[in-house]
Amino acid sequence: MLDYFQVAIAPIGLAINLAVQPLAARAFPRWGHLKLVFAGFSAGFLSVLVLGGFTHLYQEVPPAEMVAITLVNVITYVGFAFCFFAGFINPAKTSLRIRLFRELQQSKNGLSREQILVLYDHRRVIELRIERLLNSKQVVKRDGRYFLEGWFLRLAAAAVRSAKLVVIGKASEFA
Amino acid sequence: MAILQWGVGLFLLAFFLHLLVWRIHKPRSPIKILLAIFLGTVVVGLATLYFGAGVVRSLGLAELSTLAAYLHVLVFFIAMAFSYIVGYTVLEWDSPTLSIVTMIARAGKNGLEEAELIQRAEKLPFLESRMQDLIRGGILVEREGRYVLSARPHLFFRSILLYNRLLRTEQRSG
Repeated sequence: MLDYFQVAIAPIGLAINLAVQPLAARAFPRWGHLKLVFAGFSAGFLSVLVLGGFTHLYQEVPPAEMVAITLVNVITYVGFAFCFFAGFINPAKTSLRIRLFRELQQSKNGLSREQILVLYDHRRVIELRIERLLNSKQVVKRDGRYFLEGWFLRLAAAAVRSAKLVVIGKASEFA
Repeated sequence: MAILQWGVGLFLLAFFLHLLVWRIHKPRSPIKILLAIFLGTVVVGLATLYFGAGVVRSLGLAELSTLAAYLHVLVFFIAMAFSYIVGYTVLEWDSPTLSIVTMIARAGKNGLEEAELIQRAEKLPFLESRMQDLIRGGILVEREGRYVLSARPHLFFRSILLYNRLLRTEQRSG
C-alpha cells in the first residue's frame, strides 16, 4: 500500500502547491506574483519531502533505494510544478495568445485585424518587456543605452539558442 | 533504483525518437506529434517491460517488481515529458523577452541604443505568428474579415484565466 502512496506523493505536492497560491493571495493581498508562486512551490516541495520521509519510516528499503525514490518524487514534483507555472500561470501574464483570446472573448462581434493591431500595440509590448527586464535588474540603462547585467540571462539566451539549433534546426522562428 | 533508471531511459528514448522524426520532417502540429511520441513510447515501453520481464531479468537489468513501480515510472515519465513539451514551446516560438536579451547581448560592451532596440524588436512579427498558430489550432476563425473565437469550449484557455483570477494576478499580458 505504501508503494502506491509513494506514487501519489508528487501529485499531492502539486495539489498543495495549487491550493496554497490562491489561499496566500487572499491572506497576503500585497504579495506579488512571484512571491505567491514561490510560496506555493515551497509548500508543495516541503510536503513531498515530509511525506517521502514518513513513508520511509514504515518501509524497509536500502538507503540507495530510498535516495532514488526521493529523487524520483522530487523530479516529478518539480516537473509538474514547472508545467503548471510555465503552462498555466505565466502565460496569463506574458502570453500573446492568452491576450488575444481574452480580447476576443470580451468582444461581441470579433475583431478586425486593424482593431487587433490597435489593441495589441506592439511597441507598448516591447517597452513593457524592457521595463520588466530593467525592474528585475537583468538589464541596466546607462546613457540611453541598454546593457545586460550578470550572467544568468546571457546564459539562458545562449542555452535557448543552442537548444533551438539542435531541436528545431534554426535559431529563430523568423530566421 | 529501477524506477529512476527506466523512467530516465524511456524519456531519453522518446526524446531521441522525437529528434529523429524532426530531422526527417518537422510536423505542422508539433505539440500533437510530441504528445503521440512521448505517450506512445511510455505505453509501449512499459508493456514491453511487463511482458518481457524474463528477458530483463536474464540481461541483469533492474526489474520493476510491482504494479506500483510501473505506475511510478508512468507518473515520473509524464512529469518529465510534459515539462519538455511545455519547454518546447519556447523553442518553437520566439519569446519577445529573450529576443530583446539576445539583441542586447550581441551589441556587446557598447550596449544597444534605446531607439535602435525598439526599432529592431518592432520588426519581429510576434503577433502575426501567434495569430496564425491560433488559426491552425482551430481556436480562432476568420469570418467576413473579422476574427472570432471558434465554437469550441476552450477549456484550457478559460482555466488559465480562471486560476489567475483566483490568484488576483490577472492583468493585461503580452
